[in-house]
Amino acid sequence: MKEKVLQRMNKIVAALLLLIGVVALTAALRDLKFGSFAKPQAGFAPIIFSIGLIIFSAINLVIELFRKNSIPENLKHVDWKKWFLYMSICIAYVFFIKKIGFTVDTFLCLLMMLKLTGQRGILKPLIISAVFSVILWALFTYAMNVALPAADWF
Amino acid sequence: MKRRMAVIFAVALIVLNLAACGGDSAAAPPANSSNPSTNTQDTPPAEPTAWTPSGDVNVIVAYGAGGSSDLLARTFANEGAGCFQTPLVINNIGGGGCSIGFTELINSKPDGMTIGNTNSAVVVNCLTAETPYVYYEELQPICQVGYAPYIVYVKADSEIQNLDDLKNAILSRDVIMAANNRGGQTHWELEYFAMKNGGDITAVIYDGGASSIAALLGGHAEVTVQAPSDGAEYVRSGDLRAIAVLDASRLNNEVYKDIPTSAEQGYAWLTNGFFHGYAGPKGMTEEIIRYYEDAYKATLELPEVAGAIESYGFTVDFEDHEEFAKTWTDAVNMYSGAFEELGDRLTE
Amino acid sequence: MLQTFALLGQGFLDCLTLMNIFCAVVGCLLGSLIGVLPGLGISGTVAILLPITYGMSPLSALIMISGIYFGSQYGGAITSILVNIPGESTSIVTCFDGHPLAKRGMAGKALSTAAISSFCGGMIGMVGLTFAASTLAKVALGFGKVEFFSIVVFGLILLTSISGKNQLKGLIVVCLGVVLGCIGLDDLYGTVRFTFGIVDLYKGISFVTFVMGVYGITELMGAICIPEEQGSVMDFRMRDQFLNGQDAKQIWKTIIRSSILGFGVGLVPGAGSTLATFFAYGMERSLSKHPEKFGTGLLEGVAAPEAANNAAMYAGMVPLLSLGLPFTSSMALLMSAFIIHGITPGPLFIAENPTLFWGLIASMFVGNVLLLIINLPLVGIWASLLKVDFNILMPLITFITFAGGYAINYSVFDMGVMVACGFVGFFMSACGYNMAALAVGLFLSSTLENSFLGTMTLYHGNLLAALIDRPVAAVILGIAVIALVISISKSLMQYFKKDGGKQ
Repeated sequence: MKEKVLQRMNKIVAALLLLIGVVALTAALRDLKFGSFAKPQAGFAPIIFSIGLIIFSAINLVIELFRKNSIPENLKHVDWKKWFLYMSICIAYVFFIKKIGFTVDTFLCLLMMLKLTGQRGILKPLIISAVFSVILWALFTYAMNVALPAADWF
Repeated sequence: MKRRMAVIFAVALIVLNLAACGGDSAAAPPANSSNPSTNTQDTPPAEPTAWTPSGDVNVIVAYGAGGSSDLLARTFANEGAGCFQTPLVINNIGGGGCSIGFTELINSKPDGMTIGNTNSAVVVNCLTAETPYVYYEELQPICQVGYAPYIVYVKADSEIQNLDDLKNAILSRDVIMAANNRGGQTHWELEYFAMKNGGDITAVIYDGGASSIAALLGGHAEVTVQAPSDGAEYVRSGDLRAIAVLDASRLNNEVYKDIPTSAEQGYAWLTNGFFHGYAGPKGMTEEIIRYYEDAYKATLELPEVAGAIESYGFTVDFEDHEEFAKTWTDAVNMYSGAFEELGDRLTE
Repeated sequence: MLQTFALLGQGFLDCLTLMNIFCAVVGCLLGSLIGVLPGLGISGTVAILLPITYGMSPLSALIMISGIYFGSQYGGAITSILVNIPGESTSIVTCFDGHPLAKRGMAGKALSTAAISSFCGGMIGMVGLTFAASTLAKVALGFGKVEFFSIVVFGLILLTSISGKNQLKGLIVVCLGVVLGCIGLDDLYGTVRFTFGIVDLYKGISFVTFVMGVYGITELMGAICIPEEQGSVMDFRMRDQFLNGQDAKQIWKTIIRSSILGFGVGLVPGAGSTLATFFAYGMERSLSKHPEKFGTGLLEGVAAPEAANNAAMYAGMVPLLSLGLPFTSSMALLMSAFIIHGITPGPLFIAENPTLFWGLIASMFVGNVLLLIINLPLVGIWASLLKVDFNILMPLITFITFAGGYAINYSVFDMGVMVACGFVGFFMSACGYNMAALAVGLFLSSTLENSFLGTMTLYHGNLLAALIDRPVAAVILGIAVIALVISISKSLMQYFKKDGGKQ
């Protein structure tokens, strides 16, 4: 990730929180009724708490803007390439699960992830992925009686 | 080279295997299965065009476990199991005053493998709140099995002995009632009662029958309307007093047989009860409906089932899908009228 | 009193049959296993087991089911400690000190502490339940909307102060949590809120999905992508895995205090057991001689919430057993277990079914002992799970988490929500926003709203009148506000001292 973005991460997050508050308040005011203090309606709590969110995050944003740019401690040593790959695998997993079924999807994504974390060779990750996918499938289907997503494509 | 070939071959085998497993784990059976099951139990062999379920049937109960709807559904599934060709599996999907469960039912495949318990909420909820669907139009009635009137309860040490006392209390001070959800079946009766008598009542919403009853026991509310099974234990123990059965005739039940009806007390217009029946998503065939009608009718003839139904405060009252549909329409008309009169009182 | 002991004795005789012991063992094991698997709630499993127990005697069935409840409380602690993923809402606080302990190579100690604290908390809770059930039930009934509101507010404020260094960020996150909790079909009004047309959002964001996303996925991301974290494969010695005399001396007072407090708070219908864990943690931290060490891996920080949540679980049974009122979905399930076996819990339950009641109580005792016996030796095994190569373990856990997330509602959408929460959680927690507070804000959102609106309706909008009428609630709310003011002024002073430096 670019240095510049990382250094301003605190400010970005603070601004986004304020944005969420504003969006929530707008949606609530548009769709929900506030009612009155004596007879509150469905919009009562959402409006009050989104106002609270806006106020607090606005103060927070102001405080953050006055701070120096610095990369948050926990983000300093992140290997962003790995992170991006991890996110992609997760997103792909969820995207494909209904298309190719739980077991195949888990097998493939697990395989990719094991390569991501540095497993060498292909045989060991292959075996681990295969065995694990089947165990997980069996555990959920038989022991927990949970019907896992089935494949649409075949 | 050989090793690599072996690996690719192994991978292909594994993937194929897993694909097979993945396919098998699908729980949704094909849409219109008509293969007769090989393990018929007490029912006679089906006619060639009759429908039988191809596996476990999913029965959605739009309430959490333990309430009267849930218990009844479980009674049919357990004691009545012999009348169905495959097991009924109860699936509790509570929340939003039945909305979530009903929504789930509406969105299920109309292949007969998913049905749901529907009570009066299927009509009432749509008339009093913005619901994601108009339930009584999006669901197809199958049959009704029972009916139970609502009962008005007060704390045992309250000075309110009957509906007249309640009326006087409403007119002279701020009476607080505990309701299970806004605009629902435990809310509108007393609002209507108050309105017709020229007064107003404050409704505080608790999440569920247990909390409403707790509110009464703890002195936070004075009156509540609940289903007979929810209040029975408290009337028996002497903690709560039932002051009226909201029906034309008395309940034939150990605990409630001496409780006067609203009609006897001069308020015949204050009646409400809930039917307990089953429905499915729109699009089910006649054969599917007939299967369930026959099965449920058969269960009602079993003494264990009928006995259980009555002990939960219900009266056995079977209606087939046409009669049940009419019940729904009648209910829509009745409630619409009452709610129109109630206007804002229900939503505030 | 003598009669109570006689009945209890009879109860022990009843529950110590081979069949009942077997049921207890099965229940506890199943419960622990389910608690360990992130995302799998006990409700699903209990619902599946209910029909199976149909053929058993009522006592055996109830013994098995209660075993599952106790077991799952402990199982949740295992994942909290080992991988920082809370299995239940009651295990969130256990992560605060449990995981740092594991990172320092003392996972076994943390697990043992959790096991023993759970045991003691359970024992004390059981004693409370046995001897004071009816009195305590009246206490539970005394909680009205106003009391609920003030306790929840107090709990949230307490949480923001114990779980993060920055009070303002804590407040932001709690508000955000409440707003997120409003997404979906509203319980009170049946109105759809904040769904922006997406049908899948009708059920809202489930608490478990959220926790698995912000804890599970975020943790895993961190573990995989941050090289330093990988290096911390525990280099531990077996000696460090078990509690020694010194540790015991350190924690016994914590355990006793937290159990009692936990039992008291657990009487609050509904969110009691979760709230009990923060109150216990907060109390221990304020009573401690070295409060700043909390959060870095202190045994007391594990003992407090674990003792509290087990005691609170028994407190939760008080309304069910003495009044027939189930206030949580787990209690409602337990209640239907009773009903399926022909017994309807109500005020007359104990009087009319003494053998069942006392057998159940005795089985709780037995169950507690069994859990301890089963789990203590397993501590070594669980702890050595961490010896497995991180690079293999983390991907495996990722996919277990995904499967668990799916299993909650059979929804692939939920899996997507998990990934999104993981993404957001990664950056937010790095910037100093506490995810525990967010999770709890989400969890308590509906209780908060329900009690807030209920109070307003009851007193026609006059909050002041409400507080005057219910002095207990006023005191609690007052303490909460004072606590908030104190911690805000502390942060302000720190800010001015260290002129715009630290977070």
